[in-house]
Amino acid sequence: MTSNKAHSVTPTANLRMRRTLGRMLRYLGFAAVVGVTVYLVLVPLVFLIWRGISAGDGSILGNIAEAYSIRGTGDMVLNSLFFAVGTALLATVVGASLAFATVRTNAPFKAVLYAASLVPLIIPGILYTIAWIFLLSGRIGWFNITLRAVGLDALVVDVFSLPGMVIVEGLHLSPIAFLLMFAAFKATDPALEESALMSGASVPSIIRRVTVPLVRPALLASLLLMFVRGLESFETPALLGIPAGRWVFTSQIFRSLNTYPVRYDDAAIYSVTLILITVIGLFLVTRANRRGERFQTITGRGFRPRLLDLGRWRWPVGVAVVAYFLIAVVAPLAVLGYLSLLPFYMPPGAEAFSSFSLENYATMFDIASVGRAIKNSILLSIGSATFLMLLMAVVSWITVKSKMKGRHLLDSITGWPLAFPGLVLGVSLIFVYLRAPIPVYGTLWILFIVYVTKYMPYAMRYASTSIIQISSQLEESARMSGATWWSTFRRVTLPLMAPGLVAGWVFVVVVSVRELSASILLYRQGTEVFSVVIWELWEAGQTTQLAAVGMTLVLGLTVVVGIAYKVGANIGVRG
Amino acid sequence: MGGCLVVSELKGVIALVVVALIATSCAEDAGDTTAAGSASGGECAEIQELIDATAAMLPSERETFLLKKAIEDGDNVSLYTELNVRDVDEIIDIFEETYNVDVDLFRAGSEDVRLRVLEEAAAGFRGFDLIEIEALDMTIIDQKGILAPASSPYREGIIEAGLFDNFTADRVTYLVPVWNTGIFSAAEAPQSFEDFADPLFSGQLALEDSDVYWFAVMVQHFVEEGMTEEEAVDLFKTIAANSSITSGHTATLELLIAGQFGITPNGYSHRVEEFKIENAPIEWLPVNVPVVAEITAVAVACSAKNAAGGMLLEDFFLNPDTTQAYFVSVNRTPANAAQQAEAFGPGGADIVPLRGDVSAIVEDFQKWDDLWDEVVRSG
Repeated sequence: MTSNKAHSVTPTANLRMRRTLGRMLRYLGFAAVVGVTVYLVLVPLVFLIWRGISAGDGSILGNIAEAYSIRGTGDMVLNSLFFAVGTALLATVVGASLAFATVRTNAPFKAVLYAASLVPLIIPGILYTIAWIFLLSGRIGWFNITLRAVGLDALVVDVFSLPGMVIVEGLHLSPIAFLLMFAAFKATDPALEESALMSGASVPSIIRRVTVPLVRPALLASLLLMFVRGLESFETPALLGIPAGRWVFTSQIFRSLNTYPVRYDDAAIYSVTLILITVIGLFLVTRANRRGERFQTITGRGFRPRLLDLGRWRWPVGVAVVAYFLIAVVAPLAVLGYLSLLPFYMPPGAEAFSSFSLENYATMFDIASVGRAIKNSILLSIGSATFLMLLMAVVSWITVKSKMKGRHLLDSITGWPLAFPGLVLGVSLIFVYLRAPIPVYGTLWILFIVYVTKYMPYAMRYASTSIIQISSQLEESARMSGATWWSTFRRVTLPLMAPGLVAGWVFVVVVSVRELSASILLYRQGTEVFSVVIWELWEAGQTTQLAAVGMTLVLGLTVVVGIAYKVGANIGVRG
Repeated sequence: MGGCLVVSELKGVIALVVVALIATSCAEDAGDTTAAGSASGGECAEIQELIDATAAMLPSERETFLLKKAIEDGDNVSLYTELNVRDVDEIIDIFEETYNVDVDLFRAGSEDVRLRVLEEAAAGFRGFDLIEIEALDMTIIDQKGILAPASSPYREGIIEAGLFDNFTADRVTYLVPVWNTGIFSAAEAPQSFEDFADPLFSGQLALEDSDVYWFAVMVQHFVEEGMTEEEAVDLFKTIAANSSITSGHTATLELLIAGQFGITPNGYSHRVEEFKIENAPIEWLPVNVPVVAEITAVAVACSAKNAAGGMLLEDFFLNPDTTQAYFVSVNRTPANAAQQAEAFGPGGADIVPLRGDVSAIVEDFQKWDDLWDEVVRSG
């Protein structure tokens, strides 16, 4: 009898103990994930605020008033807003339209679009901007010369102007919007569109009344990301804005850091302003998307995506796709390819063609740092992208699926680094890790910390946009069948999130390779990265050799993206 | 329950981070003290012994002695420089081959190097053994007591304007007017600086935006010539109003070659010479306006980890047979007086460049920087 009793109690006790242990492990895991995330964001932030208030007479209001009384501050704020709003609208409209055409329609030429539309993303900002200087500058721009030749002077835009900046930045960012919207369209059940079509609605009206509302969370997230990215962008405002006299927050921060004594307080206050704008934006988007279940389209019920027949819109859309491809992808690459074959820039013509040679490519590897930079960039970009996507997969589960208090704050925190200008992040991390007892200064780890911090908001948007569309029914079914949280997460949630996670991974890989403004302050001998080498060549005035290195980089990244695309195809990125 | 646990963890982490950061912010003061300490001789004591020990040696004895010490130290020599990647790679290669001592390199713009060195010094971090940046930035660093006394025997050959207590010029860069020969002929080139305000150049001018030193020296020159400071600054503003503002000297020259701009008042003469070798349509001669000479200098850190290696590399930069000769071979202007006389003036340029008082400009840096900002924003 006693023996029987013991038998019946022990399994229950064991089960209870295992459950308690499992729960404790889960909480510990959550705590570690949250701890790492919060640490990465708050370290530079606390530094920023401290530097903002500790300078001058130590009065917060005094320092803020001083920073905002610098001549031209009003214009700077207006320029920044115009630039960021213009960029966000252009990038999102272009990116979302392309994603829709690729995923959901029978538009012609879309087969090349996924890879091709990523090329602007792959080209480092400094190279893309340089290419556009040769395409769109007042006198020598290829587009402008052509437009004047055919009598379309009215369409000539000078790249050294606010509209020029918006065009360059908007087109450069359009692939980010494309990737984000690609995942969203992929995960949306087209049954509603089909119903609308069968009820006699026209294609434009379906897009406006069915498609857009269905992907609204991703669309808003994209607009916000592009807006903040526009605020944070450095290369375009520096290369195009300063010559045009159009100062924005980042160029002003750059100036504050490059003067002496360094105006950390001004740089910090402008950066904190950017963070506040970001937080408000994130709050508004979160609020708009609060009732997330309205957007859940991945449910236990299966669906088979069917393509929308564009009808008479098919060819106009096809032409638009080709036009985008030619303007945003082919033309800048053609300029870079052309430059890479010359000893210095010459207008296209007999003299230029007779000067063509592959010398820039041949001498590229004579630069000692190129080999190291390739190795480091591959290691860092793949490492940080993989770590970040896994981290954000868990964080997005906490913020979207759990009912934990503080989850909205956590969601918001992951978005703050959007507003850290790279230069400021670099200075902050130098300051902290020169003093902290963690020996990462001067190693690849400090660059890893930069990339993971800086690109956290993007990874989070990709992850949360994916998870928001997964109905809780699937996880609940798994849990009801006795699966633990971890095995449910691993075997149900993660695979369903895969399209978004892969898209995010590709994005982080590519933008990590491009990151310059923080890397330039943090690298040492042996930890050079590709963007630093490109910048060095720009500084040394070897623009044509830089074009050769840039073309090689673009080719290399295209291969990486292509592989990711193939892998993605196997797990559902491609239908 | 899970929520509470995570939330309390979240708060705990935030609290920890804040405490850690407050601790590190307090540590900055300590870092500053360390840096200041080095000025008063604390960390300089070690390198001072080396300087004293080598003071009476012949250059060849000093070389042998420093090499032996550098190898004993075991550390690579750490060089921070603003010299471009092509040239610095070449110089390091020859140094490493000659001495079999490895060099670790950090290369960035002069201002970025300065920013990094000041951050490292404030934290008491021993980053560089030898530094090579513009004299203006070097003076700022020197004021923090980071540099050891200059002791190279090759200082004897260096131009007088390049000799400072704790650093020594290794090369000189000239800021000159440069024009596209397809747009302007030599006869149309400005005959005086005031000519840049001529409507002939309107819409063709490009003004590079980082040259505070050039601006300060030019204004001081005009004041010496009889203008008031306000008149001189106004002249710059008028010229800037006629100009597109550009970033980066070489980028400006590239756009000049491409024909986007016709002329710039502040280009680097050595870069023009390099482009001319490749038949690019640009020219800077004859030059009829005041030319500013910008000095770039080398210095060894007080707290150098491999002090002997740093001193050996400094000698290598100043030696007329090594780096100074290399500068001549790549159309740069060395700071060695004899070699400079030979190297300077390709095409028969006969000019006496202006050399500003770097220390005085650094004293008033905020003023010059603000004035230059006003000028640039007039563009």
